[in-house]
Amino acid sequence: MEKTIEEINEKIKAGKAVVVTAEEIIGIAKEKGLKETAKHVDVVTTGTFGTMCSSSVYFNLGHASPRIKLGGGKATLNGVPAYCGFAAVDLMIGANALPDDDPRNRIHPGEFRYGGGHVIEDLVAGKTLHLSAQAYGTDCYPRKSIETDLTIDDLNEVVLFNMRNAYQNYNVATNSTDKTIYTYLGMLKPHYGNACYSSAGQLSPLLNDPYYKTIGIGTRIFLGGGIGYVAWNGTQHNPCVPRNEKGVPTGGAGTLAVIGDLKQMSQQYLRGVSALGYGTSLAVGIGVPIPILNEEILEYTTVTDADISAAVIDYGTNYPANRPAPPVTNVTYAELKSGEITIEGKKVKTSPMSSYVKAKEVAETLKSWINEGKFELSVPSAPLPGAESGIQMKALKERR
Amino acid sequence: MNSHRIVLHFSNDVTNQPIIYTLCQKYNLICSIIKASIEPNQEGYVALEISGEDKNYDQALEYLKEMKIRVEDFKRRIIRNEEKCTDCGACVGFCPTGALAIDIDTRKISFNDSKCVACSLCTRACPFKAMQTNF
Ligand code: SF4
Ligand code: SF4
Repeated sequence: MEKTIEEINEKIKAGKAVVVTAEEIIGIAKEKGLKETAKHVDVVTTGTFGTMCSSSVYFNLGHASPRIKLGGGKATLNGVPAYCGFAAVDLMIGANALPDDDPRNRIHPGEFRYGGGHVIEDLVAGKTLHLSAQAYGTDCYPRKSIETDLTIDDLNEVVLFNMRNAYQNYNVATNSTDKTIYTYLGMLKPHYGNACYSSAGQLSPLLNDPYYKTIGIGTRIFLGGGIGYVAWNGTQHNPCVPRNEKGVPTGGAGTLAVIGDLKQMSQQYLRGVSALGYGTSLAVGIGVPIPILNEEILEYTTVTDADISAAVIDYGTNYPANRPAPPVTNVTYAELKSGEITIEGKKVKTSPMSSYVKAKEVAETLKSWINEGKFELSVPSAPLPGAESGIQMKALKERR
Repeated sequence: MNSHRIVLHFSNDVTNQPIIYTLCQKYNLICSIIKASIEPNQEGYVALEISGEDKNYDQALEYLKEMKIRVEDFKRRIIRNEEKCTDCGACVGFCPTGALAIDIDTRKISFNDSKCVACSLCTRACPFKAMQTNF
């Protein structure tokens, strides 16, 4: 029996939709069987909360009197440089941006106490930020500098835009060398001293809809505690990686570009990150609802941590060199979450980099929004490029 | 026999005194040093795990008071800011003693300060600056 998104929305409006999280669906389908469950359950909510380095915010300052044109000029917020490549008063700030005077990794590992991710968190938290900007001055925009304090409420549009996140599966990092290294997946001790992983596994959005049968451009989602949308496929969207019999890609595959109004979001789901020896970033909570249109779509949502396997990559050698090499080993999320995996016969401790607790909170919150009729599902305007697209990731060719 | 974890704060005029020796000899206490920073004629601290009879421990506290040494509960020196903590788990791999650990069922990160040795590794590792130390 097929359902449509419109039918599910009618049920949501009537307060009759059956909504469960991607964790709960596993047990329900096991107990009732796929056929019964597909009839009974209308929506499965997913969630993830982790460091998403491609996060950015763009905003419109409003015009000053006299006018100033920041396009082609320079601007900082709390000392963190914003991008000034657009028009007069539209600025953009990326999560990894750092103040010019940050010592970075000069004393290794650098601490990266404050950067773009923290600016975004401070904005959403309603804190006062200091804007300092310089321009070259034109006849119509004569002013050459501005210093002022502002909060999110003083700005016109403030939009969170992430060009790549919600990775469908991801590397597990370890380190074979004899030195401790500091990576975006955490500190890695020498001689396979530990391993770090970052996906929410069975709760993760794209692992519950591995062939993008329901998630597409225009899908309404939970974003940073507010409502956002899938804007496009994410950069490095790589749907053609090999998959197992459940459709689960064996490595990093699909990604989403997402967009939403920062003014609706909350600090609870947008947090500045200081990654030792690596840089600043932003941790973002994202949740995608999956309409259970039929048995096949339901079956994908029953994926468990034991079904998801990830490649363990050596961040001491092959990753930084960007050398194609077979993974050190492959492990399942069930193994990773047990706290220990085996690498070359050695027991290696694992630790997560993304919060499963928060991922669950996201999926639960989205579920309650739908139950309360505050959130209806959208019909995607266009699909994401799928496994049939033939997309191949290109490495950078260096010519000179 | 009970054990206590405390931090002694020395002003610059007592750093030359045999305080720890007195605690061991006179009050019959077993003192293991968790962390310390003491230099002659400068302010300093020693974080200690002390075990012994309650009576002796109480007398030792009196002695420390007389010596004008400020005694603080160790627990207050390394704290987790619950609001900032996202339960991500990034600290767990750094913690050498298992004071920070992950609950396999709930995936929540627990902080057991009685196992903490104040190495401060977690304060550097925590991406959200939730682990805070006063050392
Ligand atoms: S690293 Fe920080 S935020 Fe993450 S669990 Fe540990 S204390 Fe909490
Ligand atoms: S200070 Fe050291 S021992 Fe204490 S919780 Fe942090 S990492 Fe563990």
